[in-house]
Amino acid sequence: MKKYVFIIIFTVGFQQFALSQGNNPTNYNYEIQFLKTGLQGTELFKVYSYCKKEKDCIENAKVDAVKAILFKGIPGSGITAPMVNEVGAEEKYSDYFKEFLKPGGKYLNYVSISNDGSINENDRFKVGKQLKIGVIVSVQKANLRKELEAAGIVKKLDNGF
Amino acid sequence: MQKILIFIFLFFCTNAIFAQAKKPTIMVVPSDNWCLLNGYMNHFDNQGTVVEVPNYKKALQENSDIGNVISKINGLMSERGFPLKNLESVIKSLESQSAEDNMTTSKSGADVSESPLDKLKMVSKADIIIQIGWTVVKSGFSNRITFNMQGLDAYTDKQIATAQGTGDPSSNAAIIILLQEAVLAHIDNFNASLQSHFDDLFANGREITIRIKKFNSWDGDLEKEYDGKELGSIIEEWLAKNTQAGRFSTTDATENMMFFEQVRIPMYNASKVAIDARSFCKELQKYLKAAPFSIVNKLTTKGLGQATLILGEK
Repeated sequence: MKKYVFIIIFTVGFQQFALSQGNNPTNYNYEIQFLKTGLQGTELFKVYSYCKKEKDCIENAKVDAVKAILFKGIPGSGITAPMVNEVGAEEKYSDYFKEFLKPGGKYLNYVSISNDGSINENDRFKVGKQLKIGVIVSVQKANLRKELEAAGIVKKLDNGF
Repeated sequence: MQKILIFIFLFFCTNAIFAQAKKPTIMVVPSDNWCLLNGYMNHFDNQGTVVEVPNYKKALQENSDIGNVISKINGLMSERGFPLKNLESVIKSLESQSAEDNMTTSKSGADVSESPLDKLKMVSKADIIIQIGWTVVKSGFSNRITFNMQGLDAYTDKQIATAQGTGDPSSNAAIIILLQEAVLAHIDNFNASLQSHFDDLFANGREITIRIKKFNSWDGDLEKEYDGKELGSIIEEWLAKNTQAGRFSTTDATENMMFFEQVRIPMYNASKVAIDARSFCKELQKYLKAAPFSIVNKLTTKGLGQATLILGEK
């Protein structure tokens, strides 16, 4: 009996940990490369995500692109500095970000996969037991900023005036 | 009861108004280098020295690219909640204002007063100037744009924001499309550095410059002593006491003039009213006018961040 209880606790615990990594703002296990400034307020990136299944990699690429814009900034792009520039904002607004970045969360309103998610053979790698897949992602950075401004996480340019 | 409610409502409204700091005005202008390269400069002979001044009106009338780029930047900044002054409108407004002043007379036939200083100040200006410039680099059939945006504080001459870079080569896109792409590619990085500047203002105070001068009709000077202290030192002591964390630099000091840079003034006074160079220097003006100094003086200002106090007369 004790054995089964242990297995259930372990399985539930592992599942929770795996889920939390997807929306964890501090999970930086991805690579991102700026491609082009698109239409007004959008930018195109190639995101290399790690996963076990190709489908998961494509989903991860979307959330990874948003996380990179929010917390890291992307060299060479129109957002070299993180959009959320307050020190410790990830912890301060952790409830908001967990909800925003959760699977199926609101972040999906601001990101989409280009080329119908087709993956170039040169962007598909096997790294140990994991897949590393590069997909092109379009992020509506202007609308994303407006969402964060409305939530009071990013300051408006005229804040205080 | 109703009166009390009205009083409470008005009290909160007043506080809300006072809580807003004075908002700087921003205007986009073509850089001097761009105007020179494209032939939009006026040449003046200033006592033997040729002075070149950008002719913005001619640039806006003859070059559609500059109008489009300014319009694009203005639109993007409005979306960010910070509408800018439009250079073309400012020029037109100045011209019509000048024409109206010339035509305005009172019933007794008196003209509108205008000193030579007033005339000199009738130029297009803003607290922060965004200078833009670009060059088109041709390589074979392709064009690429090197774009530069500089945010300059009009009073301290400091560069407070910047974004520059070279776009991807394109063989079929028109120059105006490449320019619009360049603006879109750089505006967020520019705004990020502008935001850092605003954060610095709220954390460390507004940075202004103050000049102290004297009319030659005044028999005193900045070395005149009051209780064993020179007037110049007394002014420095006042600044140390009233600036944010006592921050200012005395750049020049003679018996006739003093120049203070990097003067950090609080965004609000003790009554929580937003202040600028003028309201800050009004206090210094009052201090010098009162005993034991009793110095009559004249205060002139430029925008939010530059003030000149001339001692001896009004």
